[in-house]
Amino acid sequence: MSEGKQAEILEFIRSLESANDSIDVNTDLISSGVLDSLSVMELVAFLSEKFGVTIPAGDVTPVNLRTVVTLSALVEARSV
Amino acid sequence: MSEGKGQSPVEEMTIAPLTIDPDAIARFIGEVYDSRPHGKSFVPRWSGPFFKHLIFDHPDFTPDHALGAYQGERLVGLIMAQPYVVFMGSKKIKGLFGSWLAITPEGGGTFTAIKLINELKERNKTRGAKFMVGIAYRSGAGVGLDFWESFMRAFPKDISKGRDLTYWARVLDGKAFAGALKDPLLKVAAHASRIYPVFEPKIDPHIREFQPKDLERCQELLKNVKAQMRTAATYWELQSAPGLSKGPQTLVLDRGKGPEALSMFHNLPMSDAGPLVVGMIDHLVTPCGAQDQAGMLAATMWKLKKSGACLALMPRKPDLSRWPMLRAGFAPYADEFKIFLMPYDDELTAEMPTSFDLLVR
Repeated sequence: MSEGKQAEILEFIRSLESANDSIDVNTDLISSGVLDSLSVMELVAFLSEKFGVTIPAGDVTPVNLRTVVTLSALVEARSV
Repeated sequence: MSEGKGQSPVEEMTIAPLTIDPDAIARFIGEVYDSRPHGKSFVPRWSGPFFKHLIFDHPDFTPDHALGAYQGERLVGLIMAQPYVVFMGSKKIKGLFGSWLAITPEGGGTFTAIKLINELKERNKTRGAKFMVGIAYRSGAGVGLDFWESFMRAFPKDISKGRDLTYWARVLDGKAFAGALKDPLLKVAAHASRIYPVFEPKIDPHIREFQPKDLERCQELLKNVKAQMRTAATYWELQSAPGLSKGPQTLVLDRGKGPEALSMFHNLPMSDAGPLVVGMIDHLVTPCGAQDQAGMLAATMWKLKKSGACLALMPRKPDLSRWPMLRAGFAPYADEFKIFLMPYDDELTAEMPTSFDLLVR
């Protein structure tokens, strides 16, 4: 798994209004309230633009978006 | 869906057809809307009978047109769509008029809205729907237009934004309208409109309610509207609902050779500082000229006013003359209303319409 990707995703997550600097790659972004209905779409737009992948709406699930690690895995899967 | 170790209960969310009745749906949507700030926008107050007529009694309704999001047994969100057929250019295309997306605070943060929208798409695609169209407006931070614009940025291949939707607006009852408003400036405008009240017009005796024999001619009138994407009305859409609060009604102008013009309209209860009723004019088709446009407008406005509407709204349409609108006391009204189109197949993406004449719900 690319650590570079994780770092870039983490940096974006930390920039969200609902986030803070204590978030790490394993923080549960859902139960901690970092991702809400609007920020999750900002996140998807960021991933699509940054990594050149298309993330369909069907991929927006708690399993895929729970942590920076799972997000990075989603990007990897969609990059293939 | 099973819940894995360390995962939160959001995993239990399932999407399934709604099983609560239309009255309970209306109450659910009302409670969700009340749980969020709405900025300056009026809050729609759809009723159970309205939903029953428009969606559940529609001959093409299926359980996949009204979906709920459930966390366990608890309903935390819903989305509904009216079966809707349009002309796109010369082609008739089956789709959905989507609206009524409502998520409780408990359902927020679990991507419920995205899941509902996606599920509505997947289920109706298999039933032959080619698109969903809807209207969004600015209704407080984080909801309404904000949500749909974010959705468009995240899923640009799934949704497109049409041109701005602008309206004609006419105060029908200035006193009632002013009494229901929060905004002091709007209140002043509502009171000012009382110097030009809507009196009972001398209604053209050739204007009457839609009858089954009018079907073909009315469909022809709507088909010939100058817009790329336009309503292809069925008998169901054209027949008058049992009352203006229960669904759209249709008036036609018939001088003996069948309808030459039509209007389709309904009432939408809303609330601001207090309850108010807005008369929505979906369609006004008067190819026969400005005088008939004025006559149909007068008859429609009077029906709306008599039924308790204090404001009439009609999307601006390219083939209606401005002067009959202005003479009838309508003023152009532009807020942030946008039309969104979700093509459900690639074929439609290539045919993005540039002009619309659609329903207003």
